[in-house]
Amino acid sequence: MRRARSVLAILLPIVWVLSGGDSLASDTGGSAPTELEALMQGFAESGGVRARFQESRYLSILTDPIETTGMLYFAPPDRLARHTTSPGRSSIVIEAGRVSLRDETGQRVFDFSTNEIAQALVGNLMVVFRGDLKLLRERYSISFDSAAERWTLDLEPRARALRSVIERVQFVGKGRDLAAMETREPNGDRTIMKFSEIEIGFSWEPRDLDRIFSVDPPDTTP
Amino acid sequence: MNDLRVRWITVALLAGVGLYGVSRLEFTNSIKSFIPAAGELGDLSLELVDSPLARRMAISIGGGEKRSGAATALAESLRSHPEVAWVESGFDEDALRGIYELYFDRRVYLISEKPATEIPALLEPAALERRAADLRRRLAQPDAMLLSRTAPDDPLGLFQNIVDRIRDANPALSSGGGSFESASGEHAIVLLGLRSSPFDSERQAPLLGYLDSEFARLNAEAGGQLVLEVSGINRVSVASERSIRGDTNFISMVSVSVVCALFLLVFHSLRHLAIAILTPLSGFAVAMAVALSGEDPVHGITLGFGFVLIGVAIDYPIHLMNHHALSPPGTRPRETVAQIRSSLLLSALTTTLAFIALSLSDFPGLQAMGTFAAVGIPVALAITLFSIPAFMSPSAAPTPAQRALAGGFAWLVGWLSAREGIAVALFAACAVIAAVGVPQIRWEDDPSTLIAGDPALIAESERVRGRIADFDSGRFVVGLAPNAEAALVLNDQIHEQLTQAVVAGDLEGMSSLHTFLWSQALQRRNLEALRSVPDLVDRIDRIYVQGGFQSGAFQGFSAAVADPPLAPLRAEDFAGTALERAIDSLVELDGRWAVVTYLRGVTSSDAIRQALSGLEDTRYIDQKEIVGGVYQGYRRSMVRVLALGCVIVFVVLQLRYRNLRAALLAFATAGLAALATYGVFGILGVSVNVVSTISLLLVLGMGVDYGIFTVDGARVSDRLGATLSSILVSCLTSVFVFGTLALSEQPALRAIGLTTGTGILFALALSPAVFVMARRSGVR
Repeated sequence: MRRARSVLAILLPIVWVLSGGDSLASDTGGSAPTELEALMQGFAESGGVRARFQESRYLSILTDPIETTGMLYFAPPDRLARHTTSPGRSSIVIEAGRVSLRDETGQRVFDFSTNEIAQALVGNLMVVFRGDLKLLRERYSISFDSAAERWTLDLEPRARALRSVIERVQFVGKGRDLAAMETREPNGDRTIMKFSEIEIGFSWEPRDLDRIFSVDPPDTTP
Repeated sequence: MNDLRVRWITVALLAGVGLYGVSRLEFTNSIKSFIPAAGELGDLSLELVDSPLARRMAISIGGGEKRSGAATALAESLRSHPEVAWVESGFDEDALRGIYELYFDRRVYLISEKPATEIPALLEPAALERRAADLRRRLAQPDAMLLSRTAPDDPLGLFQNIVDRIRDANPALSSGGGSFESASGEHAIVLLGLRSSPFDSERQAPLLGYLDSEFARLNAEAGGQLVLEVSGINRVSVASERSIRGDTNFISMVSVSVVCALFLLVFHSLRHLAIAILTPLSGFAVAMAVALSGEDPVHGITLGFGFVLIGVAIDYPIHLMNHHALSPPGTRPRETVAQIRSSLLLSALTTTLAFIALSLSDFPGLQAMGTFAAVGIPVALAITLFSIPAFMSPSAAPTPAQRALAGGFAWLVGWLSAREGIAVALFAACAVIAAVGVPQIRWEDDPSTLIAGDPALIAESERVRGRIADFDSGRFVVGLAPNAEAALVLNDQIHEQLTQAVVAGDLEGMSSLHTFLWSQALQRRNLEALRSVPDLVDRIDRIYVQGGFQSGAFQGFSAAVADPPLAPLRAEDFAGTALERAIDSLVELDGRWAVVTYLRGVTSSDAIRQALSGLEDTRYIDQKEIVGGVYQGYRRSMVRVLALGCVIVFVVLQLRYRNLRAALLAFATAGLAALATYGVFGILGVSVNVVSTISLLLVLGMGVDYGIFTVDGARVSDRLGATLSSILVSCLTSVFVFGTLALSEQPALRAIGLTTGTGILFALALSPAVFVMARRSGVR
């Protein structure tokens, strides 16, 4: 039941906002292809990724942001785990179209393989880590800017349905490191996820993969 | 009129009547037309017998990671099948949109079932503080990104409570976003509704075939690891019908072969068999034409049993043809008819009267059968007397078999006459068997035992039902009211009472319309209770600000309370939405409205009745109990009809013979054979049911015919061999036609076969003894 409740909690507002979507935007297409492709190629070659994250959610109904911290793991091509350690322990694991969640209310699993909006919502970060520029271009109008070593990747959803949920996603980085991801919603809410202690090139053993990409998070990071 | 003309007229009439019957052939298999008026409770049960739950199938797919995708694809494929009314395989976007559109703007109406007390409690400062903290906590969850979209309009989480309530309606079914899953998460589940009755095999068999082939295709694509399991009345029904058809085909083949062999042996001709069959066939054709001349369709059971009962009439041409064969050479058929006419008339009269007694039953099914057979028997007699002789030739020498049989019986009767004690002992043995066995008879009044379902299919169905915690389609509560709103008010009360029964452990769960729709009165009381809080907006604002929320963040909620965007939810609002089926349980019946609540895991029917005792126009219905009671009534009525039939037959025999001893002897064959048959069943522990009791009427009909021919034969010195050999051929024919049904795996067919086979053999065994005693008594 909780599993279903969770699905409904996520999908019902999507349905709600679909009726109030705004006008279609044009593809700005202002990226620097060479640099962007090189960057994404770099991500694609990074292998497994481990990073510490600090997330701040600025909601229009709250006076102060909701702060969470934890560890993020990515194993190519399609595994992503986010283990939150503060303020409470929770985990979300995305794997082959299925999302598993565990928080203080329990564990639930749901299948997003048939819902493109939900895939986009939960999978943006994974697509970037994977360096899947083709899929990014299918889903978003892309703007890419770089100066010195710093770069900014702006994504604006192409589909009206997705655009009614996400206004814009911005990735910021330095060199081949991803520093932050900001997601803006049409109602002004935004979420900033900052990354630190980024380590790349992991190739975990199957036993470690099972531990990391489990909603029972590892006590120690492999 | 010459024989050729008679033959043509007979064939033409039979063809005409047959064509008329075929052109008007319309029969029903609905149990409704077979159950007597049983008061309001029974009528309600009848109206709801074809319930949506009975028309539902549950499909389970297990065996691998690809089950969910296969279930979704299978659901999509089934959706286009003409026999499929609806398919549900998960919370698709249509369902989610339907829930949102129906409920979000009406969330202020659907807060509490006890608004006067619970809403003020919900808005107590301490309760609001907890809600604010809970909302903030949920906003911090990893999957709460979009909760913030609804929170400004719904700080109390009212809409989520409605969604939870809908989900809690079946806690065993969860949705993985793609497809329904069983509680264990190991099986993907698809639910579908049928357009036709699950017992309509003609429509169900193609659907089941399509389901199997589509699954095979999807399983092949998925690597062949998936396992399909299905629950549905239609599956068991189609399999049972196949089994019955298979049994019937096999048994028909056996019986036709043996009867052909018998006629070849006795008459050296299959033409005699064709002529003999003409008699019951004519009776059946005319009875069917009469039955179909009315406006109502004929029930399939009436046709089936009517045909069996008219089968008694096959005795008439057999007697005629065998007597004719054993007549002096050159005897014309109509001379033979004249010799045995009185016996034939008496046989047909007693049988017809017995069937008329059946038509006097209180039960519509028995009435229809009795009328059907009572029409057919006189027609069969008329064909025997007037038409069959036209198909026969003047007698020639009897066949060796006929001579041997006649001679053998003459010897047997001579032997028995010298040892009358054996004849008396035969009667005594039958009487003892009856006296010992009949009191031990075990009655089976559960109609479901008449059809044997495939145990493997039933076990599979139970496994699937267990995975989805399915409701019992035969147990429900019905509330009746003059209009839809009154029915919903009553349903609010029914739900409250049954919820207490769940808490008390008398009930495992229920499927109630209350999950989706409350009465408008209750909805308005919810809004009034919200509005009655004078400082509602300020209170929420103040307390939520203390919890870290912006002041004025919940103006959307304030506006919804002050002026809800939509009126309270009504049944009509569900039309055309993905939740349209939710209101199937609200139905109009003869100007009144009934609302049905389905139950699961009733531990005590009495406790449920007790829980509902304070509610007017509310009934707990257990269809199994009702139908069991109806069948018990059928059986009792049948026994009464049998007794009445026996009395009528005996009175007619007495009037005919004007001799008590002759009447008793003529009746003894039938009476003792019937009693001894049930005596044997009682001793051997074979349970009897309404089908075997109807079959006993067949035994009585044939047994009386044997008795009449035996007693009449005893009165004519040269008819001993002809009479008893006719009875033997008649008996063997009946045993091979009806008795072979005892080989069937289907309990209903087996009951017919066992009863008729055993009874007719008893009647045959008693006939020589009756002959000896009739002759000794000097019956004239």
